[in-house]
Amino acid sequence: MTSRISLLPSQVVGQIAAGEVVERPASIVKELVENSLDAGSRSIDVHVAEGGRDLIRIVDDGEGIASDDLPLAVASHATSKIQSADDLFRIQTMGFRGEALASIAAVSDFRLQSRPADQPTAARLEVQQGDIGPVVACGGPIGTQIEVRQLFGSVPVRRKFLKSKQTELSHISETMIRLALARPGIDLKLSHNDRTLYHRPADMDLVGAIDLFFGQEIARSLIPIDGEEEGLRLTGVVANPEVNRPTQRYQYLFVNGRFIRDRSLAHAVVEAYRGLILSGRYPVSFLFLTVPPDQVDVNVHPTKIEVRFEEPRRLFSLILSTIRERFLRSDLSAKWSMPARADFPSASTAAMARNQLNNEFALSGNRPLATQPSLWSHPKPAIDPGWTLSRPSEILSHPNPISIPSDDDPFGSTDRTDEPMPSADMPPEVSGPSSQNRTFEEGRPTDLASPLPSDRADATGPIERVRAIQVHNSYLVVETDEGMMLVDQHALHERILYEQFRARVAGQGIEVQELLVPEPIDLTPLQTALLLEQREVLADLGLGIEEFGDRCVLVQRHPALLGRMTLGEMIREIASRLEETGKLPTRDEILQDLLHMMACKAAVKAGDPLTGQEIESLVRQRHLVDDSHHCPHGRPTVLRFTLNDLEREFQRK
Amino acid sequence: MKATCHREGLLSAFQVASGVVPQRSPRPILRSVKLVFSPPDQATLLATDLEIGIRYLLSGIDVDEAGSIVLPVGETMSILRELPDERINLRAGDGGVLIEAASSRFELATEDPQEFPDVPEMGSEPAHRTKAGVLLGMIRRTSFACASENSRYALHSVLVEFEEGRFKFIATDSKRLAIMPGAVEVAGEVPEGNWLLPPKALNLITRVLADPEEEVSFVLRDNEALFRTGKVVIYTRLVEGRFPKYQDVIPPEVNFQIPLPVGPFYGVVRQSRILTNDESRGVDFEFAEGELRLESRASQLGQSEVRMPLGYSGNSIGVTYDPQLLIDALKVLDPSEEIRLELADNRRASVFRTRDDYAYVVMPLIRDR
Repeated sequence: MTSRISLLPSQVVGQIAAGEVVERPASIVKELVENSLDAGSRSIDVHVAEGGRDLIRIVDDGEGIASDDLPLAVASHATSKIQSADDLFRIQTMGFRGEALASIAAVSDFRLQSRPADQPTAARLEVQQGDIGPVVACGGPIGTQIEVRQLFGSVPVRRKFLKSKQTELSHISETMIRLALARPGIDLKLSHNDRTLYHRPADMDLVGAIDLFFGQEIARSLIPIDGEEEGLRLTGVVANPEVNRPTQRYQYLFVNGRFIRDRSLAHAVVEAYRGLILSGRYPVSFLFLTVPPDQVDVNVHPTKIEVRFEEPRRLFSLILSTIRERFLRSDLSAKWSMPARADFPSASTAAMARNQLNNEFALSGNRPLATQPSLWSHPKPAIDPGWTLSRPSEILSHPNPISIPSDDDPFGSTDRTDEPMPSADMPPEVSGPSSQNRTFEEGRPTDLASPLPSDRADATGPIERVRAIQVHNSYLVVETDEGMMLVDQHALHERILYEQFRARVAGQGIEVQELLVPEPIDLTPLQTALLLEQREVLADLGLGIEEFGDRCVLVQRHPALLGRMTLGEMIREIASRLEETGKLPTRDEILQDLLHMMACKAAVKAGDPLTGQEIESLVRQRHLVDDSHHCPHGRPTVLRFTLNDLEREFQRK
Repeated sequence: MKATCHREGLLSAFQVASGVVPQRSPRPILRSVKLVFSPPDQATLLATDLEIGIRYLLSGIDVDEAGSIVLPVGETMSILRELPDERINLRAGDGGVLIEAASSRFELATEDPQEFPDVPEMGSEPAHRTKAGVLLGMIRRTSFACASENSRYALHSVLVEFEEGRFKFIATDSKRLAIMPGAVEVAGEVPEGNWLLPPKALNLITRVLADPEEEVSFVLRDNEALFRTGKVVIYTRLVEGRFPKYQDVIPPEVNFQIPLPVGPFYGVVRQSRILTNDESRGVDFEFAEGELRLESRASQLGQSEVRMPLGYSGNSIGVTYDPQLLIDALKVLDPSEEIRLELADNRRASVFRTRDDYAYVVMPLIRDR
């Protein structure tokens, strides 16, 4: 059969075009709220049901659309926002492409009702999956209301590819947060299944909004930023480096009132924090750039999340220098310039990082910093490959493989594989029958390097000679047969405890403690909603929670297994995990998380002095840290140095 | 200021006061106590951490010259402990205090007594009265049940309530709840409202109550409370916050009533706790006709079975408890006493009751095997 070329029917064209703009419910929310903003609305109310799959409703009090214009509103490339191509370079509105409504209407049951102030009644237009109906007069308030139902009803493939309602909801929530931060002075409300998630009143300032969306910890740590350079202006707030996050999600950047993503500018922020936070952790920042409209091209991508700048270097240096100067001026710098104390307090790594920053500032002021191969503050990126000695090939070719780790990647977490440790690597008392019964659904890779029998002897054999010292109450320096290694004592202990807890919990059910008096736990509205959505999974785990207002849940029962964690810590930990991954965790995953948290809490901390016996007992189980993919802070746990490398460094070879 | 004191009397006052003195404080003077001497033979010792304060009246002192001094707690207690003498002399000097005994002499650099914060005194207002023994029993049987830290509810506290002729102490950490009533002579009308006492203040009170027949008077104000015995006044700020509605936690229906002798029961619970750990905390209690059987099992540890004869003839019931919660309460009960366990079923709160109206409510564990 020969295929003939033919023009596609307009409905199909619409569905294809929709793919670019309407990626998921959150993109619809974004487009529609931006329209409302462009229409001069003072108050915008967004309601979604079932993560936006079933319903997205937006009600604004903006200027409205004249009833005659309604059919045009849902036609492609029809817009009131620009008139000609020249306007593209002077864009002051959020949208301009004239695609959004047409695209959305093409793939949903769409209802648009609007009434401009000078029109006595409202008018309504319905579009059923691309079929445009007539304009009908009706009663209604001034402003525009849009309802989007049955998203992708006519494109089952796309509908199937929508993620769980939690995931879609967290995308919508994120969209609203971005819009709210970008546009202060507007009353914005988001509700889901009749529950109000966020309500940002028009008079709430930036810090208030950050408190609302991200909680007190961040809101209380904010440092205001203000910088200017030849027509470019940077304002906003950044968090004290002590408050940081494991992802870059909390770096918000807005250009001319529009949320954007820009790798180079994000890097400028990270650069400004360099030395102040650990590698694998990222700053929290809310930055607002004002750039003359003719120096930025926002018409690069349909969702306008990426933009092109005329002079990106100037923006980079504006961000870097403004934040850095602010840090140097603030109380922070006074604290950093104190001489390093001999006994490091709780977070000695942070102290190290501060010291290093201090040095950097002393040396280099504002210029980009050369990377020093410091072992302490950024072990991961900073180490020259030559230092990571025990690469597999080298190990396997080593003449005396007695205590060589059998793990594929002896450098542990550098590339954080998600492979669990082969069971043979566990010491016998841990890998007994109880851990075989698969309470944890971990696949057991069979293709790993075959475990060396001597490794077990290493773990338990009393003959083994342990030569180790503790330095700065935080790290253990251990002599090994092939050279030496540096171990993060906390990470090692945490890992050991995790294995112990896991073995103990495996094979026995979870005990649940009922509470006489339910305990209220404060959360953010989104966390509250996410937890309540997961109520059944959590109940399976012994965690009984009830609704108690928008920002609070009541805990009725909890797993007796809390360790040194408080109930609030556990609930918040689970909630923020739900928030970050957006996926439904299984019972085993939550349990595993719980055990990790318990292990982390119970483990010795950096800064805890250890006795010789404690060091010895820790070091005897050191093989466990080779599989450190779970180190929750994304840091390496072990650094290895072979004799060969030491000799090379000392130029004996 | 100049006086001669009985060394051991002064030492025991210091020992009580040291329960108030903070371990560390941004105001170093709080690490000291103040002594106010008034002729002919009395002195008052004051200590406070600004939340809780104590006024301790010492008598039998030869006061040669009235006045006040401030003494650092740690050093002074060591001196009083080490000296062999029966009596010692205290004298205020320039910027310091001199402690003299037969063959020893200590000059302590001390702070200005004027700087020492005042500890409120009980006014002339009418006070409620109870017996030391009653108060002591109420504190012992409730304060251990407090939560160790505050959540949204003010659980790190003991609630005080009044009813006709009695007052009650109530404490809970939301896993268990203890209620103990005691006889009181109320000054005026039966007070309405509720007051939250910090456990640290109650602990301090137990250290000054010796004779159970001694009278204790107390007043409860809006945000503070004062307790007075013969020679000591204890002041405390009240805990702020809300105490949960505790009345609803006791199930109204009782389907099982099991008599338990405290001593033997305490013994078997302690035995059954041995083979439990954090991950497997529960002990299964099987109350049957004539016998109680306790079973515990913890992986990597082992299992245990403990039996005890029981004067019970009703239906059998199995409940799982965290043994530590029972031990906490059994520890403060008289071993020769008999208590009664009341149950609706094995999921709702269980209540242990004594003859003198002590109620200890425990939430069972639920095990999903």
